[in-house]
Amino acid sequence: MVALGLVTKYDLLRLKTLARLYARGLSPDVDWEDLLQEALTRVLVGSRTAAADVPPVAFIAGVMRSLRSGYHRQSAARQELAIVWQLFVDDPEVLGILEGLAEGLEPEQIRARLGLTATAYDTARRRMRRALLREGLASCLNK
Amino acid sequence: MPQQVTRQNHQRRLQRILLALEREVLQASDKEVRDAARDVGIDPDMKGSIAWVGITFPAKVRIEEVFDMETLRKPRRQRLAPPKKTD
Repeated sequence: MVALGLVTKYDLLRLKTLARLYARGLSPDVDWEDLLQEALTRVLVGSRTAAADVPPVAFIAGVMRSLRSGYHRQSAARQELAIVWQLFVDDPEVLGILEGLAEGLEPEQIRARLGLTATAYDTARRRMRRALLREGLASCLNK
Repeated sequence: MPQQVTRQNHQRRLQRILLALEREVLQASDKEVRDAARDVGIDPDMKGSIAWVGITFPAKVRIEEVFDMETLRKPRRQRLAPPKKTD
């Protein structure tokens, strides 16, 4: 895959993290590996083609998100939100940011609501990314 | 009706959160990815690293990748019978 020039080696780890995030709450018949491989296959065989201005890694992530919607059961949204929340349960600032994002607020509005400086907001986002990547890359053999 | 509205609301919130988290992961630098992997004891730059499970080699072995399923579906007696001589 890397040889095809689609994505970089680290892009694949980003996609794996997202596949693991998206597979949460799906049926046990569908795991993160299925989601990732299916998305890569669709892109490789050309059944899904990216617009010229979309980076390949973002496009593949979008394909996985779309596949997830197909598998997703509507009634599970609440439980899935709880599962995602659980990833950041030790970090109230990150939870506050996620709450704002869930409501569709802009970063400035979230910062104002939480009383965060731009630096503090970016630091919290970095912690969010790190926690998400750790979760996505650890325990690779589990769903 | 209120129940349906609540469900749609949860759905919308979930979509927004997942999209925001997707952007965060896509924006993470290679160093951030590497550091996060090392936090959990994984070195993605090491040959055969577990980081590549599910990407360059499968996380689970599927029975159909090891055995010929058509043969397995045949009755046991038929499977174990010596091949017929064609000559």
